[in-house]
Amino acid sequence: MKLSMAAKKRREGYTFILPGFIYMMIVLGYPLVYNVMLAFRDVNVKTFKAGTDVFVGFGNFVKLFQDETFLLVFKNTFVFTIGCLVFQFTIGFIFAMFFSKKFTLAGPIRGMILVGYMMPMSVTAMLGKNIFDVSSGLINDLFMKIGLINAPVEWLLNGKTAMAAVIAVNCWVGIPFNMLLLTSGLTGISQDVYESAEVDGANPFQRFIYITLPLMKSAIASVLMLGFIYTFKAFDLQFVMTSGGPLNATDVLGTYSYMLSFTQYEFSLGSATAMVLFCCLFVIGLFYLRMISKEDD
Amino acid sequence: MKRKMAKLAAALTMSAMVMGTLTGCGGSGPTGASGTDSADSDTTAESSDAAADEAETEIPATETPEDGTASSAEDIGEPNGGDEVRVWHYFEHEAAALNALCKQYNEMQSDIYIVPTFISREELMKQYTIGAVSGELPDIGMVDSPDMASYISLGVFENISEYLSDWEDLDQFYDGPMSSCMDSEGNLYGLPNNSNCLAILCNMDMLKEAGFENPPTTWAEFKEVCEATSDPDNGVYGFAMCCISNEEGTFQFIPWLYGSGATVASVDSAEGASAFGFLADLVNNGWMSKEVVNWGQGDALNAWVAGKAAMLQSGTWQIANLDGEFKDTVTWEYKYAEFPKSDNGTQATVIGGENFGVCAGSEHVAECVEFLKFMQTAENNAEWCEVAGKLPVRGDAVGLKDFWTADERYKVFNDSMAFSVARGPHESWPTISEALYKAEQAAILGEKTPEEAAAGAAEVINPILEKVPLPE
Repeated sequence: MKLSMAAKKRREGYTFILPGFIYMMIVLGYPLVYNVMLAFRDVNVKTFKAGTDVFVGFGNFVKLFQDETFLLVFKNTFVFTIGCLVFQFTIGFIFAMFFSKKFTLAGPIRGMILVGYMMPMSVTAMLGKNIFDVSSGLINDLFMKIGLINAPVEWLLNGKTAMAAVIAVNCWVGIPFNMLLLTSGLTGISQDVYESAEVDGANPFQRFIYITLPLMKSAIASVLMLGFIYTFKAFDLQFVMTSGGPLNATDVLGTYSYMLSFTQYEFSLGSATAMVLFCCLFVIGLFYLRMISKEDD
Repeated sequence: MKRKMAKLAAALTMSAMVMGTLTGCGGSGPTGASGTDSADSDTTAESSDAAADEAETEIPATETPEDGTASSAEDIGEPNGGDEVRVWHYFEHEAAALNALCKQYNEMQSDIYIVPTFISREELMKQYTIGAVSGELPDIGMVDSPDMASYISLGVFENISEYLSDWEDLDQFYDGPMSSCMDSEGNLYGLPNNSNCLAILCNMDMLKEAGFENPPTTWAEFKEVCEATSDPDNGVYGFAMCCISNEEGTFQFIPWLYGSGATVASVDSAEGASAFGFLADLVNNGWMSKEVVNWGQGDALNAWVAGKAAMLQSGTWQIANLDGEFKDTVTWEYKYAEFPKSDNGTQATVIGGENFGVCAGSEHVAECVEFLKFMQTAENNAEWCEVAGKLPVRGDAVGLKDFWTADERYKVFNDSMAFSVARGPHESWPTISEALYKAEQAAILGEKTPEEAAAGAAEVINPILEKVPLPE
């Protein structure tokens, strides 16, 4: 009797999961499977209509990793992601700590910082394009006026500075995101702990290292993981702000995959690029889940 | 074990969700904001508004893509009882003229009811690619002429040769535009709608001030004018063009490449390298802004209109901008001139234009072809090109109006057609095009010497052309 109740319960559970499962299969499963199939064939402008594409195994991946442009794009994706994470996390953390102090206007200012996060990425990217413009950009104008530079910096015309500019613009969005998540982590720490530490003679630095950081561990890990995923899959910022240029210097896997599929009609290579992106995130995803389950244990 | 599987599944789902945003063919990618627009990209914002205004009484039955704007019954006539035929296009300031033409056709027959829908060029190209997979295509689609070969190859357009075989007018069409509607076996998939080409637009006030009474006619003179009119400290340059990393960049580079005496097939010749070198020199000497690598054709025009450039590489369609939105801004005397000749006496420009094709899967192929024929009669083509500021695609249309010869500006373009070259047609044109604009950018940005840039382009282009050569 008891067993059948459990079975009934289980069946009930599956019924509840079913709509979501079907939805996921259609919306995520199908494109994913289709993408995998494309990545292992040679579908392009020549073979598409005739249906003469053949199975090429890992051929597309070999081709990609032998291609200088792809290797550059692959590297760019990591440089961009890690660059963004370092700055947006550090500054986001400082802001979160700063605004957790109760002072006049703390709330409104924090709200204003969030504007960057609420703005559509394409709008932010357009702003970035204008701000970093060589002749009429705000940054050059400002730097010249305060005497930081003598001649305008060719921000978006030089590969290295273009990447720095893209990272800076992404941080503008990433900082409030980090701040928001870290603030909620900070508010979870009881003030009593700090007070008793203070009584024990811990200085602010010690309180940060021995209380804030350990208690924030899971929040920090979540922020970094989510930040990595969001940044690694970047597309719209580069697409609008630099079109991946100059000379692929700011191209990332997302934009490169799009370019291969939609402007070169190299559907299989585009899919293979997307698969590389997928695999990288899959590994990070596993890592994240392992970390969470460890905490649960 | 079970738990491990669950974890794996969760990770898979998570990554899939992330990737789904990229490759989920439905595509919610950004549109039009990147400046990767067409040869007609000047007035995007303004004209989109205009197109939106036209949508007041949208026809509900029309299946319109998210970003499309269907014309209203007021503009194209009330439904005539015929089956609806969807036409997708990216005409902006020409939209009203297209609507008028559709209205005329809708009123003169009742087999089909033509409903044009405006979609930005970027979005439209994406819709064709997606449509090739999903079959969601309009009945008639407009396409930039160098892109047509790829779409024919992808199966976006229907072979309509049999419907056109007994149409005598076919002989009247110019070969260049016509060839862009064909596959390698000579089958027709559409009809060319209009042509345009590039010329040099000169701010004569600036030239005269620098001591030049006339626009330059040779590359050497061109450099002299650039030098004399440039003032980099104040952000004023002798020349402005578009070297952006998309088809527009290639479009604007072709006149220099062919002008040097090279072709796409011989890009790594000494002449080819000299074309890259010529443009790199302009930048290195401070006669052209390095920012041209991020400029679309509309951006370059804006720079010229703002008085930041003495000369501009300008297209036929931009005359309409000079007569329209920039009428009050351009207070100086200006003049269009043919491309200058290179040291070896070669002169070239590039042909652009749009085609209309009948899309695969349309249930009204015969009727659609009839509409295309109507659209492209000599009278309608002449009429259309005059209103839209384009060049006709058939010889007998030119004689019907004096528009192309009476207006000095259009005459320059009309005369330039004699030495204009077409891009492709080639199914791998997008790859060839990418190799060209990347090489051009590398030379301009100083990443490569002109010779290295030319060799880099040839490395990509030559193997492609070895398999399928460009038409003679």
